[in-house]
Amino acid sequence: MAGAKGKWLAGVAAYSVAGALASTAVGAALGAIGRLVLPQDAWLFGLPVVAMLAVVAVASDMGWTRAPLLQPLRQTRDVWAGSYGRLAAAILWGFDLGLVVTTRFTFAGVWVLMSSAVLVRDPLLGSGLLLSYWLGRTASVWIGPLLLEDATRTPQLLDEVNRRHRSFRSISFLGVGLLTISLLLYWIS
Amino acid sequence: METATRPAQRIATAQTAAVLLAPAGGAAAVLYDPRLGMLSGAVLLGWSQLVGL
Repeated sequence: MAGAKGKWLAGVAAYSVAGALASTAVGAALGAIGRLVLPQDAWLFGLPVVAMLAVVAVASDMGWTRAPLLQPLRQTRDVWAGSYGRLAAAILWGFDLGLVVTTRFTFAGVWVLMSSAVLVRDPLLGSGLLLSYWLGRTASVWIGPLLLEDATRTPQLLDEVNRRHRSFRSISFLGVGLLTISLLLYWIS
Repeated sequence: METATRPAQRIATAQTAAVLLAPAGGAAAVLYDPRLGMLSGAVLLGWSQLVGL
């Protein structure tokens, strides 16, 4: 049992670190792109764009728009576990999902996150934003054992999570709202 | 019955903890530094991805 726990811990830690590195790099790149291509007063036109994106994201997630969400269509590869072993697969999954832009989005708020990382024109803050996103994302993996009755009940847990789709969507909207309002405060302060 | 409701209760507790981050992040953004609100919003966006598993 201790061996199984150790393997789980190693896998989750490897997954988390790989994703954190990838997200930090993507966030820093977005902030650097903003600094390179946007003028200092970019927030004058950038804030309305982010606010509009936030409205579009909410409308898209609510199903109020017919246009499909612009996003990558691939998912990370579950066959990596069979090809490379569990630990290497955990690193690859973390890196892949941590890149954010290589796999499909659950909710459209990711666009608000990425546009904000560009608009702040700061690689450090950009990396902080994407790293925070990753921390929120990977938190569910760390607390997984607390949510599970036992390891054999994972499918039931996932069913329960999916039954709460609207609740998670509401949390995504909270995140979009908080991010957008805080971005406004950041520029006027 | 108990085993059927426990995961639901635990997820509800986790959801409540996540929701509480919104007012905390908002207060930190207004009172201290807007960047803390931005980071809190990003955490909430990441947490909401759980449903996409």
